[in-house]
Amino acid sequence: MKKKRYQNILYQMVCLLVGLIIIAPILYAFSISFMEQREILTKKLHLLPNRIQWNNYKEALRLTHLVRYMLNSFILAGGSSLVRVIVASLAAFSFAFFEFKGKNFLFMLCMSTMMIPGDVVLITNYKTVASLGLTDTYFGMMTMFLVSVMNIFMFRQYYLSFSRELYDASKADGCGNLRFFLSILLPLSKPVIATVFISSFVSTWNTYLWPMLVTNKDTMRTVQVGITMLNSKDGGTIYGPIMAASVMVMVPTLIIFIVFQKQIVGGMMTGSVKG
Amino acid sequence: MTLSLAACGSKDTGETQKPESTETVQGTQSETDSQQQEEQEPAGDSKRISDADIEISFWHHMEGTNANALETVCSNFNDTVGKEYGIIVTPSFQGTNTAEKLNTLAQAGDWVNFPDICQVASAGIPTISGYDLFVSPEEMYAKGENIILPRESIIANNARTFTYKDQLCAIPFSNSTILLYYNKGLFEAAGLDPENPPKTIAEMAEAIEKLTQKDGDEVTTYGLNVQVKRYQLVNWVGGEGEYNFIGDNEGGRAGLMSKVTFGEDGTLMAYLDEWEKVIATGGYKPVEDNINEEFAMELSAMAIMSSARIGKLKDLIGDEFEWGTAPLPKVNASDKGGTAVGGSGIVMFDKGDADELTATWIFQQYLGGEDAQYDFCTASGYIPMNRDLYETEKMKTYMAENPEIVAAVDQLLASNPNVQEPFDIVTGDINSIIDEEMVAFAQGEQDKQTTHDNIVNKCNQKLADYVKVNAE
Repeated sequence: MKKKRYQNILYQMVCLLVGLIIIAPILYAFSISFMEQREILTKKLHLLPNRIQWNNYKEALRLTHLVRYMLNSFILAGGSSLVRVIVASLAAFSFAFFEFKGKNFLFMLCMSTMMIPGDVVLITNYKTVASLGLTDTYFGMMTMFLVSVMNIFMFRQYYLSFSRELYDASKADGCGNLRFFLSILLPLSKPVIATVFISSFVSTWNTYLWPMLVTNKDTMRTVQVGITMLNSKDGGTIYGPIMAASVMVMVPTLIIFIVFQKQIVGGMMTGSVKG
Repeated sequence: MTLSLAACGSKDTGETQKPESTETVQGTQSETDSQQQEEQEPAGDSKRISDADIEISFWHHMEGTNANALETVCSNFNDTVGKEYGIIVTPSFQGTNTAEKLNTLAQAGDWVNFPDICQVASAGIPTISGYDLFVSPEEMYAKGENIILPRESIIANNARTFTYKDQLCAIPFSNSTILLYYNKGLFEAAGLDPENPPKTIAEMAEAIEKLTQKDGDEVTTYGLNVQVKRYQLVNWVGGEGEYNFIGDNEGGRAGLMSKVTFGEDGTLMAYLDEWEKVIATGGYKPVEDNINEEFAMELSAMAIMSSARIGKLKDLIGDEFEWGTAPLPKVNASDKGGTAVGGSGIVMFDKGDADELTATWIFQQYLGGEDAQYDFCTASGYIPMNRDLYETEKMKTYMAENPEIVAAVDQLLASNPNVQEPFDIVTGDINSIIDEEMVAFAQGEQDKQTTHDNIVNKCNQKLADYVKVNAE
């Protein structure tokens, strides 16, 4: 019993240490965002600011339209994540509950698209979006992120762990597919919905290349482009404002992650051991 | 030649103005004449290109404070010359490599979304000049219409940087040159003359030995910090003798560059012979982590960087210690070539509307004009490319107050225009090859001959591969 207790303490300490190592760069970035340039560039290790000053935040906001970029990123990430949930949940519903010819082939076909790197189809995708006149639009930015096969897979796995009897009983009671999907399946799929939405939100929030390519106006830029704009190839790196901007940019995703983290874990684990 | 922008009333600036033809620009129009003209014709509407304002989209790759400086220049244009001609310019940041974005659009055949005007690094010129929409300043100068920036106002070295197949393809804009930065305090402490920095690599090696400080075996202050990549190497090798093209076809300016020539003419080996002396000092740091900051923290006594960093270093160093800039130390004392012009220029595209093209041409020239160059360069640290600007009082005052920039300007004006970064097309690959090989040489992983052969053979292989696929 005592041995197990020591093991538990050791386990907790290792977890704490690993957690600290992972979060250390973020905490250091947070600390740097309050430092003056001279403090950042000291020879000796300098972990905490001598005093809290907000100049780096002011400078970051002065040098870029960060608030506007955050709004753009929010529309992009929020909109595309919402569509992803709708598309993925419906596609997975058909793959998990319907029986039709070629189902497995279609599913494998979908899965095989995961092996095609996004960069390979970048120009083709751009050509399509440009020919549709969608450059410099939110919809144009979102197009690449509206469907994710990984999300379809996650929903399908979750649905496969769902009681088939419940579906059959509903049908026997005269419940149609859409009603079953909306009234029974979706309310019981909150963990996977939260997981897909949040993982999608975070990855789209952090995307750089596609929004950069498909928009030409400064007013349509996203936060990741905004942070790049603070850097300067010739003028060197202004660490303070960059860290301040990074902290500001991190806040929305951090809030979403903290609020929904329990659902994320639940959603990820569900269906992983289908029995 | 001093011209005043009458409509803007900026008599003190000596800025370019808009005569209706080349003849008036090249004439000896005095300030008094301008004032008389201003009195005779109401400023504004008579010069408008069309009834409605013409909107110009301007893509750039400036970031941070440089982006602010650029936006100020655009804003000034809109308030002055733009208002006069009815032009509104909207600048927008397009990532750090605008040429790459243009290339993506070109590959997708999306000419509609092309900008009217774009800032590009010189390396992108050969590709961009092949686009259907591309219009070179050379063609516009040949037409002789709406000239507000006389061709001869562009410094020959800067013009050569953006010249491809004898055509000036871009108006130089944000230009720089490579310099030696040195810490005067550490020079004095090491018994070196702070007003007499090293002029050759051999002298620099001697200085490194004296400047390097150690705590036991650990170096606390390096004599020199520079990571030799393509930019640094082509400046050293390019300046050997009278000048050196680095590659065939005048380093890619007369046609497609298919091989490097610094192997066969012995200039690369001559450089490596000298560089070996630097490596042997043990006080040379061959990798750049944060070269600006390390120099500012006195972790290195000398550093070799672009002159565009002068402003940044002034911010970082403040009054902490005295420092100076000097021309890039030569490979051989007898070398006369000097250094290349770095940075970017402005290219324009014809999107099918004659008025829009005229408006773009006026803005393109404005960016090379005295006012724009003064405002942008003093705010960012780049070196003006407008010869006439150096004759103005405000520029003389600025240079007197900022002695660090003098070495950059003097070096640029004294360099042979043929010393340029080559149009080597596979620039990124060549940069990686030189970087890897020079680091391996500096860290003692390979000898001089191997380094030489690897650089020559690998660069030639990359160029041959490109030529094989793209020559047709």
